Amino acid sequence: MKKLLTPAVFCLGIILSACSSTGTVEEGTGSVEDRNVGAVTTVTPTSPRSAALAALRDPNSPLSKRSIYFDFDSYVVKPEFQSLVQAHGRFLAQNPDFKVLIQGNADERGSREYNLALGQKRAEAVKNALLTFGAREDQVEAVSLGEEKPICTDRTEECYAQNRRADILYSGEF
Amino acid sequence: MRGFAHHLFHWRLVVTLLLATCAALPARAQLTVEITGAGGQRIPIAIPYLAGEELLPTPISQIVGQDLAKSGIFQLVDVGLLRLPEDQIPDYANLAARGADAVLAGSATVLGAGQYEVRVRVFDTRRQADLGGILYRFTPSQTRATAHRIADFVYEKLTGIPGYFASRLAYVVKQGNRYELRISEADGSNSVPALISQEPIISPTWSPDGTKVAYVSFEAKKPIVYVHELATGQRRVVANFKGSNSAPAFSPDGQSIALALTRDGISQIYLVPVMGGTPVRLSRSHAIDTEPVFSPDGRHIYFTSDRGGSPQIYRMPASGGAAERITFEGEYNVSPDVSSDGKLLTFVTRNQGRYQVALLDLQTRQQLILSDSTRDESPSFAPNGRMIVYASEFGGRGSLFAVSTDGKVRLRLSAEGADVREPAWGPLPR
Amino acid sequence: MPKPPVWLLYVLIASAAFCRPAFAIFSDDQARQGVAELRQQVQTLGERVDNLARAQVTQSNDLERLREEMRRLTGRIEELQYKLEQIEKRQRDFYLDLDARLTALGAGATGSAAPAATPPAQPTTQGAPASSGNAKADFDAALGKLQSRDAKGALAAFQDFLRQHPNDPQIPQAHFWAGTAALQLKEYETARRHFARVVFDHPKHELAPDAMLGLANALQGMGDEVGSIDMLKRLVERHPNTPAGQVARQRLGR
Repeated sequence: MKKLLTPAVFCLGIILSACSSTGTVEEGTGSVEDRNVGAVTTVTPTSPRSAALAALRDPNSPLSKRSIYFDFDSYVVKPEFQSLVQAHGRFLAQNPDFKVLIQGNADERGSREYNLALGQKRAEAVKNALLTFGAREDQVEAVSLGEEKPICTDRTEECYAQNRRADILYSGEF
Repeated sequence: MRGFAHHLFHWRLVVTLLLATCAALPARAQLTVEITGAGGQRIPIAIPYLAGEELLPTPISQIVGQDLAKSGIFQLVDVGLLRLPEDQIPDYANLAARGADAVLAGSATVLGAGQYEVRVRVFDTRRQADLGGILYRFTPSQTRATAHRIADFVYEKLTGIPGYFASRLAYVVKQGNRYELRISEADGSNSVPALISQEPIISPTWSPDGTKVAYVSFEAKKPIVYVHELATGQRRVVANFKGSNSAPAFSPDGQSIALALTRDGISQIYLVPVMGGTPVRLSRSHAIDTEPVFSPDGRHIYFTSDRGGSPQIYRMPASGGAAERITFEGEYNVSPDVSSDGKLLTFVTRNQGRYQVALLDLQTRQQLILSDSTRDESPSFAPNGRMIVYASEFGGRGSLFAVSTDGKVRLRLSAEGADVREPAWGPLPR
Repeated sequence: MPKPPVWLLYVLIASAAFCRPAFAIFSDDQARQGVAELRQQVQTLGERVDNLARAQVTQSNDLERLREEMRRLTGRIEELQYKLEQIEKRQRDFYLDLDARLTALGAGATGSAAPAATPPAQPTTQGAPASSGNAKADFDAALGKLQSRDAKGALAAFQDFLRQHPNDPQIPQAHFWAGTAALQLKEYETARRHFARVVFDHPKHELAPDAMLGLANALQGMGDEVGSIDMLKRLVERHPNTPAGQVARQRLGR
């Protein structure tokens, strides 16, 4: 896949930059003034990092969602969480100086150390999905908190379900 | 390669280091002991006051008596205000008539310059025999430790097995968001904090010489393994690799630490030098491998793995290689510890939804469940292999328990207002 | 696993924006058309990459499920292997024991150690009064049950034999094997009764030493430690040079 795509994308880049000599990108509904339309924005009044941070904090953005929940005894990212992970994977690809820590968790039943290892499996599942969606290996660290940091402490199935979770934390946020 | 998390971000570092030897600190949550299980046949023993005991900072005979009684192997015989110096032949007939099969005779002397001396001798009243004596010199702060050593001496003389009263426990106390690694005497009393943190501390484990404790701390938002020198309070990171670092266990020679790392993805077992360094991978599976513990001869590592679909205890050569499954009863067997003679394995088993302490005789494969509670964790053998300390629940809180390996004696070491967990039984002092 | 280079796409698009060549190769119309087509292509490719990435996540989920299944099967194999070893060991112990006893029996009067050599229809002529053909068959059937580890069936069969053939010469043997079966079933009182018949009714029988050992075991099972030790002592006294006597001496020595 990589071999196929690279030359095509590379040529596109050259041609697009050639065309940008016109100074405008006219397509769809976008106007010259609307800098947010299209993939290419040449003028950014704010720094890219702060814009990216704003995107992370925008409550309407999928990036504001940071928790992935897992089924009992399961360590795979469920389909309903794939778009969330995809959004973060793309964001990390677009913002190569950003890094994330993924903290996996487990419910409290059984051995603390074994639960730590189970939480790690959840964190690794999210990490692998992020890499698939474009993040770099050195941008992502998967760790586990095991059963040590539950967000819910009741001994109910609903509560255990909330603790079967992995959280994505961006550097500077923790 | 170190995890970037440790380098890049400023931690709200809230760790306070304290000297474990700082005995002046009043322990806020003293543990108490009660016998909840009935023992079998106990040895009746008389422990009269030592001659000159009133000169000592702490009454030694009382501590010796408590230790022996709490072992469940001895029963104290009251001899009133009798004093019996070790250099006199005891009145055997009188002691035997009171029901005492043995007696501890002794005397205390002040040597001056803050030094004391205690001499004791054990007599068998039925066989009218002198079983041997011992002498200790000590400073006031060593009084309790000396009493525990005397209790160990009596225990060994009368059972033929070394005692454990002079050993120490390490455990974790949680109060709200405050976590303390505490070091106490063998019965859980007189604990002092070695580490206080706002983040969890788990899996403490003793070095074979009893001078260091390794543990996992989450103070950097991820599990990292530290080695902590108890006498100085100095600590060192031994494993902070990318991913999680956990489940440390010292090798019997004290030179290396086996632990679980996730630097290659799933949790696997590695060996690192105790001073830190490059880890060597020991286990190779597509499953979780964790909770390593060395056999006392250093030749094997017992560990938890779910390579068979459910967590079970396995054993592999200490240099790595093919693993052999050890536990077959039940679908959840975790947290192994091996007795000092290498013959017994204790672990937590899930038995009809209840997590209980189990004991497996590695030769006969006989398995025994030692507890009747439902949420037992972290069993750990006493240095003589006759008792097991574990964490369980009592009154809605974590509490420590000790059970004898024959299942006949069970004690609760309880703490007021605190959640106690993760006990590790240390070695006898050398 | 190869990672779809989504990031490369974005990096190149971004770099395109910064690069401003001063010349134009195409006419404006051509260029506009080209841009529109390329945009379309970029979008299509982007969608393809996304689809591939999603497919890959699904695949790695499938892989994890397969690993899980493999772990489960590995566990099942481990357990079956362990069970097999246990069964083999038990079977070996059982046959060693049975073999020793049958050898001892074969040296005796009835020759029941080699039943195949003696057709059931043909009365045996060895020793004193022979078993009737019927009795012999019943006895062999009962022994066969014990041999195939059906202790319960064997006990019942030997007890039937004792009722139906009260005068058969193999009565002592039947009591002995009934006792052995009862011992296996932990029915100590029943075992004690059968062994006692051999020991007290046929004290000179070649199985008497073994029956005394069995009796001692039955007494021990009943919790009668004193009686058990007493029986072992008498066995050593009376039959010091038999294998049973040696076992008894060893046990008392400990």
